[in-house]
Amino acid sequence: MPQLFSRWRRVDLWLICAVGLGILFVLLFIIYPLFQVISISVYSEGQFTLNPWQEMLALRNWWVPLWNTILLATIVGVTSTLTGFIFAYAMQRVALPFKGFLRALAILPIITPPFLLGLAAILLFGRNGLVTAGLFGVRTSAVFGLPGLVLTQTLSEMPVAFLVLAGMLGSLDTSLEEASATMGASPRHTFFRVIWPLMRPGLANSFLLAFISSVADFGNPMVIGGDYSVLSTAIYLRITGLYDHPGAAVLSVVLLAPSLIAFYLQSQWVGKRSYVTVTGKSSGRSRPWNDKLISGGATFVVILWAVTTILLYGSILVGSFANVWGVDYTLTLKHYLFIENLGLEPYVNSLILAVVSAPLTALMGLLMAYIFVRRPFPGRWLLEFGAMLSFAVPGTIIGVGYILAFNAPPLVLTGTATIIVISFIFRNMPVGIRAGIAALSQIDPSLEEASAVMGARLPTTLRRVVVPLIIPAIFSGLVFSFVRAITAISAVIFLVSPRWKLVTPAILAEINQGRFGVAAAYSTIVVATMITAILIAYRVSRQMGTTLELQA
Amino acid sequence: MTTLTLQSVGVRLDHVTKRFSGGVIAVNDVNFSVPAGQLVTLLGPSGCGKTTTLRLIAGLEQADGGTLCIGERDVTNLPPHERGIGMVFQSYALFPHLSVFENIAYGLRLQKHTNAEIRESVEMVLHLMNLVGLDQRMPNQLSGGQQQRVALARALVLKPRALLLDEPLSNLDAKLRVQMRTEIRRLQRRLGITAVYVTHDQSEAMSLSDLVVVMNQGRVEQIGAPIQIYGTPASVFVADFIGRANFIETKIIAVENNRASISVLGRTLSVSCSSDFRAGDEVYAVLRPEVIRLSEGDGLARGEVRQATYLGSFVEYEIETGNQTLIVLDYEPWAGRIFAEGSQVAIVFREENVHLLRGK
Repeated sequence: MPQLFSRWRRVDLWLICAVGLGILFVLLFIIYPLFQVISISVYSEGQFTLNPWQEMLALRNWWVPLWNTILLATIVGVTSTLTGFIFAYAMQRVALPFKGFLRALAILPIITPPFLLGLAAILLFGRNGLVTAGLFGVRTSAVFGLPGLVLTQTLSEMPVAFLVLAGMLGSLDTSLEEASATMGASPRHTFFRVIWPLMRPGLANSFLLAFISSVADFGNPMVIGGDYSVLSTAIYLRITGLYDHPGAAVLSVVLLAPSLIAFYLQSQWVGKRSYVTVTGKSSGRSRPWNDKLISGGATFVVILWAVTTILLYGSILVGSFANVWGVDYTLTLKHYLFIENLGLEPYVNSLILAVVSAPLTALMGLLMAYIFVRRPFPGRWLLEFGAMLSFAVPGTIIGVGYILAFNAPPLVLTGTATIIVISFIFRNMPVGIRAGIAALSQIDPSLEEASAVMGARLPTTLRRVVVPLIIPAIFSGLVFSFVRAITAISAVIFLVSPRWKLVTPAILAEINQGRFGVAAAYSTIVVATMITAILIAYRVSRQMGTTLELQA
Repeated sequence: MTTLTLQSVGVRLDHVTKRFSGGVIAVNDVNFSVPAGQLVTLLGPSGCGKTTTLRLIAGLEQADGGTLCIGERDVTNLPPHERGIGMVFQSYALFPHLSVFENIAYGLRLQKHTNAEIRESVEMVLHLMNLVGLDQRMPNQLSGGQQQRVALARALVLKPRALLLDEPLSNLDAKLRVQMRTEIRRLQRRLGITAVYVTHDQSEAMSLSDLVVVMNQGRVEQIGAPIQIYGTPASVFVADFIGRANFIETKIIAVENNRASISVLGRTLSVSCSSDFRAGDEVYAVLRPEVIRLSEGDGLARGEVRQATYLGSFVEYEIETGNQTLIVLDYEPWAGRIFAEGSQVAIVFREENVHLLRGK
């Protein structure tokens, strides 16, 4: 084992501390809460029991939320992947005007709380909806339930699908399409026989990502789910309505299954099957001869999507100024004044905690990434497993786990800002890790060696070579942990307290009380904040000579 | 086994122009024709427009001006799949999700042949290209040379009216490249196929072509057989790009019967020239390095060996003479001796080996 020893001799104290700390955090804030959830579902007053499970199975229609969750996730997986693919194809192969604007519009659902789309769907298609009641004079609640959920989740998952598929389409060797054409294939034939089959792994990947996201979504089912019960909301209602912790734990374990299966497929199966061939030639150019039906169809879908998105976000903006939505559209500031009277505390809290957690998340992610990329050591799988779990496990389960784990000694954290920050850090850590890994694997070790050979000591090498190279990626990790902290809802809804209110649960509460104007005003403030933050981030990253890496 | 019979036709470009967004004129008023059954290379440095020209012929780019004919047909505004051409790509562009067989059958299936016909045609080209037994492999299970063959087979099986090749050998190692280029030439001759071949490698162009079209900055610099291109380059660019050359700046003293009197290295020479040269013109006398001989005895001029580099099959000298440095290649180092650096030598060459080019 001389190899191992010589490697270990170089490992410094700092690294041992880092690894130890990493393992401790993962155990404490990811594994332990999950363990609590699972154990409370089979363990009561010191003994093993299946009572909570039997109670659940005794319920009539106990399987409905599970079935509903999987049905919805499957539909949304397909619809968002298809629209994402069409959008990616249109952006890269069809001559479209306003591409920059469309791209920016596509990012909106990523940087705003997803359930704002649910609120907007109510404003447009609900009982007093602008389209349903206003335009067609129909008073209907049809949007509540599966149709509304499919609409809102498709729109909020589409950007992720778009980013995944655009990346893949962009790295597809265009000479494959050209070869097809020179062999006599029409653009349509090429589309269906070359592009489509080559994109299949990417399509599967995007389907699974959307599936995982839909299963974990809590905000939209709360807002627009109506009678369509899904697991995440069922768990929430079981805790807040019935104080039935074991029952919620049972449902959480049930929810864990589809999430983990989809995640396993996504990381193990799809990730390793890819035809993508990377060439130096850029392909983001429209073709001189394209199929009119395909490019026309893609353009139509993109326009339809853009109009819908603008209408939805626009209705929130207008709704925040309308006196009584659906009845009296006189402009008024009363909703904003109402918020001011109520206090801007939740908004300010969200900002503060997001600002506090973002650098910690980025740091934690960088630490993990450094360990993964540069220092293989025994037991690394545990860290990777933990980090993976924090991505795969729906926030609702993490929320339940946190209130179970940190409500009693030794660690009483419920009701504090600390636990919210911790949940932000461990929920968003995958973003930081991805940014860190991307940054570190860009740095060829020979750069550090070259610096050393030229006489630089390690601190100088880090300061002059490593840090300047990784700052852009760290920065984008920072920006997106901030964004995700502000827009988070599923885990933090369990963790907010009268002392520490956050803006997303506050908006949700206003919606549930039917105060759509106030909810819209709150939402407008959040959207404006996020747009401003992203614009500043773009500006800053441009000054650093890089572009902000979009992460979904 | 049936053999491949092709109906090859000529290709003609008339004032073809292609502009890219950003104002770059990639192909600028290009004219040339490829006679049926001949192999023409488009040769030039990277960015000269040769690949764009090929893509214009294929229809992968649309010309902004001019006409493009394949055979008698004007194809300027036809999409690639209606042009009846075959193309071999630099990256081979084999479909990674299809087997060798299905890659080759791809175009045949579009033509609605029966399965039996398709099988027969594919087997015929597999045989032709020495690929028998590999038909069920996937592209990533093939070596570079095999992928290259599949790419060729896939293009040939459709009996194209013309074959376009875009730097097809650039991804192969040096030895295989030479072997494949001989093979391509033999195949092209045997099948009598019209071929347009893009390369930046002059030895490839020289060894393959019936005609070479030298391009620079989007324009055609010269069209000719390899021997013309090398022996009588039409411009300084061509002389410099193809092989190596010594350029000696001078002035024409007098012109008579298409022979010009010029002063080179202190001597007055009479060299042949085209009819448009006049007395007083600024010209370059172009001397290929291998036409100069060094000797210890008398010569046209004397010089000093600045550097001698022994390269096995030849010796490269840098000779300083007056205010001129000459590159000299001696391909018979065994016949004479190798001159030491610093030694004085006589420079010998024949008047008919001097080629005149118009100066700046």
